[in-house]
Amino acid sequence: MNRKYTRQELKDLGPTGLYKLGKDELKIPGLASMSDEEIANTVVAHLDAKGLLLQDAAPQTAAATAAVPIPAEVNVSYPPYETSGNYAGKSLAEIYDQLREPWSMANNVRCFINGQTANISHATMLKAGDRVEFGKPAGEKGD
Amino acid sequence: MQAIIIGCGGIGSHLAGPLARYLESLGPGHKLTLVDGDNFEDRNKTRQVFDRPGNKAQSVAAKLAESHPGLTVDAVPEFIKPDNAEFILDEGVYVMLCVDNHPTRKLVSEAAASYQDIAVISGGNELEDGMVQIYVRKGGVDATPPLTHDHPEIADPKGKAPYEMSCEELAKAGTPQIIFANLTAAVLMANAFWRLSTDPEGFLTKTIGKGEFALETAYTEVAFNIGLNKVRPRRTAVTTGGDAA
Repeated sequence: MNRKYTRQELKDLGPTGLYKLGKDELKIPGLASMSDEEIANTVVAHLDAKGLLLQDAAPQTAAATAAVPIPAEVNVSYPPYETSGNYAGKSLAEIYDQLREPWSMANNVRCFINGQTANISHATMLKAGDRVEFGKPAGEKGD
Repeated sequence: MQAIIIGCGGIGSHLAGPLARYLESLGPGHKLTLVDGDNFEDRNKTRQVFDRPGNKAQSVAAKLAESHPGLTVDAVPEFIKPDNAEFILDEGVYVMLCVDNHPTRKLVSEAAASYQDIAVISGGNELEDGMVQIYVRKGGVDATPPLTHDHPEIADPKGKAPYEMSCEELAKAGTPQIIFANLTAAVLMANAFWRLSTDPEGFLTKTIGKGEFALETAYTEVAFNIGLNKVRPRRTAVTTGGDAA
């Protein structure tokens, strides 16, 4: 696959198109377990490494940049809540303390950093590009 | 195609009508089975869809059989439990799990694991938020994680299943719910059913990881909050003897 893409073209593909491009044409493994943002970053990195990422003719708009973001921030989620922020350098315990009340997080939630189980402690430090997910319990009622 | 709705209350009674209409529209030969050991009471009218009292499965099934003569509709007026699960589940069925307790979710997830091909779509809610989980087995392997994966509240559930409760305990078991949370769970379950039944290859795509066969999924659970009007799908890859990551 030798086609070259601009960032605007990648933006226009949307999350599903980027997923298919990465999976079917670039043969990138593991995309299914990534968030849309991670997929976008991974596809861009692969294209760039292969010399297939073209510079946009016009200066990038904020929207185009946002669609294919550079992972400078930390993405934090407790589905369906999600936010990205400058949490790099902070501990996981700080983030949990900051978000547990506004997000009504349960006590003793599980936590994953980049898909790996992590302890919610002040010793667990976050770095730029990390994807933090607090485990959302399944709803129990419905009858 | 056969779909089984387990639990015909807040979520299941909303899901049953559209699911019956859809299955009937596919033509002859499809079947919908309703399973519930509980009875409709007047107090259920604030959230649940029914127009005749009595056993929930039989009540909903009778109404659907009248309005959808082209569809085979069955009722099992019992709670699913360890000694009847194998008579309710079957190869190739879509199980729409609409119960109100984690012990039953664990029971169904574990029972489904003994089938070659089966799909379990489970919905549950709290007051404003909730989740839909999709557990699929294809060709004898887990194509998506079981309901207990990443969910210790289901793997090690607190409390009792309805079949373990006394009548008095059952009467006290209800907690406040909002009809729109039930309805949202039902719609998200229906969406997952439609996608999975019409585009199984797109939903479950094969990949190779370290020479082993593995399956990836479009999404394995969907979290929602009706207060925020937010819905967020989540993907989890499953590996079978290899590393697909």
